[in-house]
Amino acid sequence: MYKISENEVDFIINDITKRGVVTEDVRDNIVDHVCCIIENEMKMGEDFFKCYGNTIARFFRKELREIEDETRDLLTFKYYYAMKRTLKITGLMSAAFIVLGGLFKLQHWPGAGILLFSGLILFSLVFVPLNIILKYQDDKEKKNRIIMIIGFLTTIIGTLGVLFKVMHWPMANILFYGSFITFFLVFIPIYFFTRFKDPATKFNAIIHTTFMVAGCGMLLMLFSMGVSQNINDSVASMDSFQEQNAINLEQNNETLYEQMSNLDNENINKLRSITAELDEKIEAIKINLISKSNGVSKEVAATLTSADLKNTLDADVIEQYFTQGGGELSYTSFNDAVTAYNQNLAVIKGGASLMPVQLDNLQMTRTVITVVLHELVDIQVQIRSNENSYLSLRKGMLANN
Amino acid sequence: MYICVMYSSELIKGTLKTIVLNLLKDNDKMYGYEITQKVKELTDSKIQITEGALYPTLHALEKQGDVTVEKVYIGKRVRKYYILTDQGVTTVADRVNELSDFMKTMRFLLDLDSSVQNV
Repeated sequence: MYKISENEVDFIINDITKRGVVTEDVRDNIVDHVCCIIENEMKMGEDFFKCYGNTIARFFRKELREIEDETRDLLTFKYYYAMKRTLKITGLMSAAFIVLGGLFKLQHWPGAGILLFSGLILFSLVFVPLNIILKYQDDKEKKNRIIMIIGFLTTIIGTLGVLFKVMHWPMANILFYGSFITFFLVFIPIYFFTRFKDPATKFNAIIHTTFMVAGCGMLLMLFSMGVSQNINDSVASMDSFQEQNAINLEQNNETLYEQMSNLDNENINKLRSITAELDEKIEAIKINLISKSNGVSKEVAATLTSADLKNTLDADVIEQYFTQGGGELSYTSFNDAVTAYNQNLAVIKGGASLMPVQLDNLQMTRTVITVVLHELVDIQVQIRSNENSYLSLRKGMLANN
Repeated sequence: MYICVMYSSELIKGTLKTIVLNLLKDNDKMYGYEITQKVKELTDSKIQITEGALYPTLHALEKQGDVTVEKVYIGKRVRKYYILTDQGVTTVADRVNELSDFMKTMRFLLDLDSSVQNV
């Protein structure tokens, strides 16, 4: 009987590894088996390499790694039923959680967040991945596997996008729109062209693609729908009305200042400067918010009003550049400026009837740009109105004297 | 990649586990090459288990807990001996009963007994 040498064992191990058998257990078995065959069946005087070549060929049809693949298939098959059961349970649970979460959110009931969160996480991170694994095993054709994986991956990312959007987490739009665009521009064309070529799937390809394109079109339409145009118009008119009031008051006040120009009164000057200071800050904040929201320069933003906003419900811009943002144009800085204004107002002689700006009663954070812009104009009207009453009062006193 | 030269692979595909488990029941421990040789010998070469079918099956049986493995190092080679577990003893009894019952049914279904009698 031929005795295989250590070098020959090394050669067999290397060759089997090169042929794609990497799992140690499978490799050990094959190596020992090949050695046994060679030792028992090699004829006297036969070349080892030739004998090895003939022997290894008995192990496969096309390539040796088939053994490893088949082992893996058999092993995963064991979990097949467990996976199917999990698939059913998580599918039902996630569907129920998502529907209930949506209902709770509509009704503003407590628990909506946790329902939606668990539903969407179960759906995107358990249900859909399990689907990928099971379908991958079911369908051996490479083309179908690729289509299926692209489809399910866009579903996972899209669902996470919805979750991020609902939870108001950052990157929601990138996830959601990214997966939507991939679905529309990559998945649908690949799906259509691969299925259309095959006469057996041609008809279904047309029907399914039509459904998907129509569905995407309708979703696109929904994306562009914010608040109805009527509501936007009425909010814009409310703003321009109030803006006009502020302008009128400012002009009135200018006239009053001119009439009293000969009166060098410390209080009047002080009021004029604190009003102008706060007014300037408000203007700068408004321009900054419009510029960030519309994505235009500050010079352009200075010529725009809330009627020109691209997204009247932009809450991100408030969160990012007003609530969270630091610096001169942040809410904190604005709050300080208002406090300073109120303190200065209180010490102006004869200004007891003047109204301090009560920021505590005004919610300026966790809201949308339209609301903040309107609140800022309201404050401008209030400080101009304070200025106006004081000047009118002083003018009346002058006349009486 | 399946089992034999004499019978169609479809016919024997479902019986490989039973064959392997039953062999292990009668022998304390066996390694892969030994199993193929034993089957060949017992069936007069009518059934020859190919390596491509044997090892995936052995791994599956190991995962299921029907067999355990004992490794023996022969130089750089590792020989894996397969041993039937207690669970495997029950499984082999179930599988043999099932197969025997199936064979009876097939015999009846294909009317083999009467054709034998008619000869």
